[in-house]
Amino acid sequence: MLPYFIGNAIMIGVGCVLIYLAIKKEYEPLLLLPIGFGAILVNIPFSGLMESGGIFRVIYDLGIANGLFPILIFIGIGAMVDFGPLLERPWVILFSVPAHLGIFVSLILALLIGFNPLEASAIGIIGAMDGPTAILVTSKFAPHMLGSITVCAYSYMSAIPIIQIPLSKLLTTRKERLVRMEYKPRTYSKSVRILFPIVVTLITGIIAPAGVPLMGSLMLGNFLKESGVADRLSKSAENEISNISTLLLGIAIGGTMLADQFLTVQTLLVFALGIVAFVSGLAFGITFAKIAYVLTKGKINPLIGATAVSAFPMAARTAHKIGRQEDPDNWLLMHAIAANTGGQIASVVVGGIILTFAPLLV
Amino acid sequence: MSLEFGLTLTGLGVLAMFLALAVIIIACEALKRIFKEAEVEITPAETLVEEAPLEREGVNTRT
Repeated sequence: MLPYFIGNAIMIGVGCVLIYLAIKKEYEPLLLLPIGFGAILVNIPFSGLMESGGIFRVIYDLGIANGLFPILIFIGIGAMVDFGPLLERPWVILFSVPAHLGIFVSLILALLIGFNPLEASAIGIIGAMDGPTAILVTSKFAPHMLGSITVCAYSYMSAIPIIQIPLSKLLTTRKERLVRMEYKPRTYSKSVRILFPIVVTLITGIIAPAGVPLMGSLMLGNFLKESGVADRLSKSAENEISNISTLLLGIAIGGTMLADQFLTVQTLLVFALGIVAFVSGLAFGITFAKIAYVLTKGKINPLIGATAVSAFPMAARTAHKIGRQEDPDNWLLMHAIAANTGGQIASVVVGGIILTFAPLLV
Repeated sequence: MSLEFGLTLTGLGVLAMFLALAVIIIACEALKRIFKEAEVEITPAETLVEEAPLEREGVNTRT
């Protein structure tokens, strides 16, 4: 019995650390707070919260096991995101391809370490830097790893500046960071903005049908907002639905952090592979942007390459900040935001691709 | 077998992602051309940048 209680005590400590990070460091507080508190509650011996009929089990079955909560959160995100900057320069979405290669690097490493194909796919998706996508893929492919993968993904996402700043400075020269990118602000007709979410959903749905719930919900939220005639629904998606889903999702994820399931070598490996996914993804993104810098004869600032991920808007703000450290008058922000919203779409696309093809290849 | 799975999924994944994103770019440009007459220029860049709604908190936006 002693190791059982020691494990629980350690997990209660982990829960406290997550709460500390959320409050003191403001690392993803909306999610880490309920996860941390949930981890504390579920590890109180004999609380039975995750046993059949336990309230955490009920919440888990209600929205995690069937993928409902990530979908509801995506509707909220869609209602918040403005794809305008991406519409201005859609070509920046191509930066997302190399920036998501970290997924496959960690996936292959996970396979080499000995994880089975579906577990490795779930670990790889950490590199999408997209919480709901990671949760949905993991809940389908490796539900027993949900706690470690979710905590890993959100922890690293909150630490994006800590990873992105040194990596960007390491991989780019000062001359490259000083590049100013031309910016012609335009606004597009309502028709373009309304059709965009429908068209994107159709395109990605045809290529990766299993990703329709993800992309469809993201674009439904955006469609509600851009339609301009469903303000109540849009506001509800952005606020009430998103907030309630986030709270319940956090509690349920915390509920999966039972000592005997979380305190394993596997969890340590997930965290190690997660950092590989993040670092390699950002590095590939920057490298691709450096190639674009050469090909365009210095018209593209390679810092943009690290923003083509889904960590929105942190990655874009960080790239802008690095640029302004070198030249206070350099406004990279709108380019970075465009690449970042493109990264948001790309991460959902790649999630859909993995959901579609991985089961077929096993 | 496992490695074969990884390499195949990587190949398929990169190809499908590139294809999807390329088609999205083409679709965006097509939409912009079709509805070009409605396009309006606004100024200045800095004003728009400063007003950009970036300060969103938490999981809802940082995904």
